[in-house]
Amino acid sequence: MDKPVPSDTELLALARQFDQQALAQIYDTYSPGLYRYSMRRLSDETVAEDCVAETFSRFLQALKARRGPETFLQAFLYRIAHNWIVDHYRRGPMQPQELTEEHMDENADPEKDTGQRLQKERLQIAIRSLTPDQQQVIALKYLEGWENEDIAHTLKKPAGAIKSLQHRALASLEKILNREEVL
Amino acid sequence: MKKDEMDSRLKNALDDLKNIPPRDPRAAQRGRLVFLHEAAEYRQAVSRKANRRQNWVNSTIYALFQRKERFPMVNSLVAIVLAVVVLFVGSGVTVAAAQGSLPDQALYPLKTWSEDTLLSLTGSTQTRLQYALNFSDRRVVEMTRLVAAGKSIPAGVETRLQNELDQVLELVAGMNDTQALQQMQDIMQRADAQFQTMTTLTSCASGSDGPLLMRAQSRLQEQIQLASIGESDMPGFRMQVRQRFQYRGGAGTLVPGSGSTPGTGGPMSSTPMPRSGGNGNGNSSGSGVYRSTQCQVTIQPTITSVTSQPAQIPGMNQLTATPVYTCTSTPVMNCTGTPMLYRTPGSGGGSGHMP
Repeated sequence: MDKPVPSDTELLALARQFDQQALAQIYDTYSPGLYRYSMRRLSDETVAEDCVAETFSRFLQALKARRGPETFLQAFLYRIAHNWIVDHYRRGPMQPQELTEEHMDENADPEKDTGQRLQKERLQIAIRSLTPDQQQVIALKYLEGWENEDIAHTLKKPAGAIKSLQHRALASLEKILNREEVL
Repeated sequence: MKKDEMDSRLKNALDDLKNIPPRDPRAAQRGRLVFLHEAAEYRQAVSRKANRRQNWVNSTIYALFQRKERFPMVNSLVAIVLAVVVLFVGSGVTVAAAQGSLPDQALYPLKTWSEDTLLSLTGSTQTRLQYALNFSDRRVVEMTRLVAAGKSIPAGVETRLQNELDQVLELVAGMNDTQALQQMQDIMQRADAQFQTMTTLTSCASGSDGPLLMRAQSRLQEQIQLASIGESDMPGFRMQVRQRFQYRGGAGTLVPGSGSTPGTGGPMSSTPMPRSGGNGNGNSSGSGVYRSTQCQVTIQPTITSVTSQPAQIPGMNQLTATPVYTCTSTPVMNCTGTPMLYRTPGSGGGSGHMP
């Protein structure tokens, strides 16, 4: 018979004792999603890995300081990741990437690829110009496919506020993109 | 209409952002390893903190030998003398700095020396046991850090881990039943956590480290099994530990609990041992492969006789005949020089009443 999957509360109780199995399970459960989330917002594999690593490191620090969450672990982890990403963009412009052979693809259509890449970058810049809460709503709702209820736990706001944040974010985004004629 | 069109285009643009290249599994594995390593360090710090006593003697010794740890029941006089000597020669700082060193670093011998000194100067068996457990944790952390840094693990680290695990067994077997049972859970939990880490390391270490890590993994599995036996059958546990040290040439410090103790069949079996039940009346004797740097010794159990012995079932007025298998262990040695015996898990046998 399969072992029952422990709830967040049970996992967190074990994690507070730094139980290796529980922590490994937490990592295995949430790191793929966190990586996708970071990657979609940062568009850089190395930085996204840094973001995931730092998120889990801060989680451990929170456990050690007995500040960790009691429930809604996913919301807690995504909040840390979001803050890290916001800080990352605040820290300054991104380092230019060196063009290496792994960027080369014989079958690639450079013109099309560049167009798509530019469009993606503009969209990301547009998202970053939103308020931090709006950014997170857009990322969690439209990139990660979360329900408003879950987003509400992450932002520590009522579900109704998430809805209005979402409307305002979309309106702002459309306005910015229309102005830049990206779409 | 235009609004809807814009919405769908925005939606498509957002959908495009969803497409990301798959995560590099090695990077993911590395991230997991670093996370668990960090967690293991926190775990050590937390467990040590719980055992800490606020005592100026301990604080002094702690500052000398342990960056994060204080030990509560050290022989005060010896500790003070040692602390003064160490301070006098001005090497205290170096010793403390060495505590975070890795096997490939210059200060590492100082670290192992300080650990050995600390163990030899500690009088209380319980404190020594805690040290041995903590030091075994350190070895695992060292292995983890080496693997995470892409370096190979020196064989000495694994040997030291094995010795520390043996020391744990030896110390706990020398305690009285009450004390030993209190410690058994901790021993099992530590070995289990170390086993988990070792499993992760085995999966992502370089090929040359594989055999070494698997050896350590097997030894930890054995530790878990022995601790499991100890929880339910202390005399049987002592018997097995005693035999283990006899095979290794006699450690000598073991204090047996009782003279004729019932054995639990198959002490070194590679299959998990039941926590309870399965006890026999015979002397258990393991078999396995014993390796040293000089030689390899194989001990094969040979059934020399089978007799039927009447036994009474408690609560029933009838006798049953249970065959008794008597075994002798014949060492087959392929080496020259003095063998230093190490038991390797994965093969084993036992004697006693068969079911």
